[in-house]
Amino acid sequence: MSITAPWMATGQTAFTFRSRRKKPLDLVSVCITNFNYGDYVLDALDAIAAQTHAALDLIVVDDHSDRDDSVALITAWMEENHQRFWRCTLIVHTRNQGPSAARNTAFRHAVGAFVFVMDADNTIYPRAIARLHEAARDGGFDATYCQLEYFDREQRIGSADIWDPAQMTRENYVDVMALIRRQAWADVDGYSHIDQGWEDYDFWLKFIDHGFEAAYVPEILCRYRMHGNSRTTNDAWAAHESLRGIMAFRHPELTARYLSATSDMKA
Amino acid sequence: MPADPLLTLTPTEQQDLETVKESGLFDADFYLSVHRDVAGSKIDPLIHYIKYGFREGRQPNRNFRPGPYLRQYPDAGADNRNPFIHFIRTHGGCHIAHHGLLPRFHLEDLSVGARTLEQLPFFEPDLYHDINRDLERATTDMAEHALLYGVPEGRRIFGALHVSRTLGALCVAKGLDDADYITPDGAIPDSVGIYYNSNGNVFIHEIASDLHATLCDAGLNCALLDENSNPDTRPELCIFVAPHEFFHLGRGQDWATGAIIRDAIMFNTEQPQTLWFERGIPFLLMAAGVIDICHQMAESFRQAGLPAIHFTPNISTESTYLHKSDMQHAMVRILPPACRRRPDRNTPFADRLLDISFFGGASTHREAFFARNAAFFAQFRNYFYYRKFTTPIDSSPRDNPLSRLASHVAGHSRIALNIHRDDYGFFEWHRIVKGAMANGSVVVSEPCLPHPVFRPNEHFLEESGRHIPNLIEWLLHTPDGQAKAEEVRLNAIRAIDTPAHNRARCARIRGFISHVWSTPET
Repeated sequence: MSITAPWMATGQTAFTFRSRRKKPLDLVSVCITNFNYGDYVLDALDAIAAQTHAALDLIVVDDHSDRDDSVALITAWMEENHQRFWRCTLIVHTRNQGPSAARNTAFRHAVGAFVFVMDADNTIYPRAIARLHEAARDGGFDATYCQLEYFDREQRIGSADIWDPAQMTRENYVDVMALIRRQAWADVDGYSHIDQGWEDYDFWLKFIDHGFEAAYVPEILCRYRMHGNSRTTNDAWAAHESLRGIMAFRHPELTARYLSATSDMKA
Repeated sequence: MPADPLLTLTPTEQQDLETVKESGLFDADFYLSVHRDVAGSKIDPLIHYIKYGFREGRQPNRNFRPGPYLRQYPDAGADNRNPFIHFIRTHGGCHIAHHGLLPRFHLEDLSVGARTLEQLPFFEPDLYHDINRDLERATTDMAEHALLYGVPEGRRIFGALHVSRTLGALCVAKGLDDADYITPDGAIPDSVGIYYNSNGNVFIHEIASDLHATLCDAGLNCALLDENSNPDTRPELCIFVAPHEFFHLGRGQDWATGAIIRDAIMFNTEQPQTLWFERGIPFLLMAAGVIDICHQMAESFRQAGLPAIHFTPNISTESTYLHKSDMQHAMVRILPPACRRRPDRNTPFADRLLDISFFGGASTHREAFFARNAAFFAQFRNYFYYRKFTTPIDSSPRDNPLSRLASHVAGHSRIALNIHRDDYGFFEWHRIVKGAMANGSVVVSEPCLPHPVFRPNEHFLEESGRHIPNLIEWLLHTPDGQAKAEEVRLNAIRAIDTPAHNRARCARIRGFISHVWSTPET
């Protein structure tokens, strides 16, 4: 799968609105991917509408939700709220493609220099995008991420810490919910589909492979929903062993640089 | 009545009896309770031991085990002599007769260490047994075991509940007068070395640097050194900062010998409920004296019979500024450009560019606090370095600037938050005073152990974690709160800055060093 493969353009635009104003310089694209998260997606959308950062380009990709009326909910919400955004788009996949492809679809439509990535079951506090954007712009970073608050089934704080390629090679502690420079996404050829999971980890390792720099913004501004049946908790844990192997295979140079051959890969 | 020939002592045995009696080391109760056959015989236990017991390999007390002693001193059993007599004659004043896992200490050092541990209020032999059920209660001296095996084996030494109770008692105790441990204008060593471990926590290095500066100001000939210097050419007096890490990391282990420790002063920075503190215990207990960063901890060492004072160094602001190279660190570059400038601690509360800052490692207690209050804090401009990496902040390029950064960020913040690592309200001087107050931010803290200088509501503000949001809202959003914040901020700076206080601290540490230095060895 590559972001340039012509057969991957499988989205159909279900709703679109574009303001007549000139594109703002500080425009941030927000990519929300949804798959059967009808119960939560409106919370996510409300959180985006409540952002203190004014110039937003909202792109929602529905990855062929088939168990709820997500598309109708999102369409109705956009009809009501599109004035808040510089541009507002809903794209619907004609076939379920998985989270990587859904994010790539959203990025392809994004026009802001920076893109904030979020799943439809999560939410963020009002200052989140403004703070991440300001830090990325002022600090000259290719991505910024903040600390997460886990909520719902479990309440605790996420695992984010200082960006450190060596530590990232050992284990992933940076969530997919982050602000990314759109050009960096293109340069690493987007998110790769990995059947077993960990495509967010793989994305960050590709980021490191390409010499991009991310930065940790030490504030708790994004919220990660803990619910019993998220894909991470089930499939990825079961596939933990093979995923370590997949990562080592896909990023041999990083693995060689930071993990000694004798170190216990299972640790 | 004719003497029972079975109990008549030979002249040698008579002499042994006197020797053992004089030493006070024979434990008749122990002897009878362990050797039930002797208890049934109605023979005087000491006579039984002198005449028969030692030949049968029986122990005269919990500490003396003839087997290990004879392996170390084979001559002690020559000509059927009682090895216990050899021990008493060659190690007068000692009660510990073997080295356990601390072979580089003399029996004299170990005996002092075990006796001091017995008196340390955090230690409770029965609790040690509760935590370490594999030990046989009747035949084990718990303090001896804790020192010789417990710490080296990584066992827990103190019970959590007892540590809480002891800290509580220390907070309300009137306490021993630490003036007894200060000799003003007494003799001082010609040279003093302040030691920190170069692989250790970067905060410890800072404390050592400040201690070094304070001792220089106090007129001592003093050098700042690390574990890589040569122990054979060490200064007359060594002060080891954070013994819990110094003697455990890298070449610091080479320094863990009785000859070095018994003449040295330890600067303890660790909290009593931690495993790290327990790992430092042997070095603290066998040292000539202890300086403690915590008031209550110093008192606990005094109660154990050690010369000890509570002391914190004068704070030099120069060392806390960000270095030029730090400016390239990502954790600096994410700051708004105005906050990358060198802060001025005199910036009033109202003009500070960040609202709230926090620096500290992850813990269950902090996790609950931040998870509960995330929505509240999300509305403010924060800098929360709530560290999730489990490695200590060291001198690596990634971590090295963090300590300076904490001061820098506090210098731009209105409020510096202090959330304790756990349920013990240890007054974390480095975070509260050096990190926050000295940089002009208002400290908002969970309740702390009382501090002799810095008082809640005067130099900082205290509130339970549950109600900290109310306090912060009041400080940031109301005129009364803002006025209080400015007042507290200035009080704290004044308390830190007053030259007379700094001179008094210099005199105090000099007096303590002199006291330890001039006290003859007993």
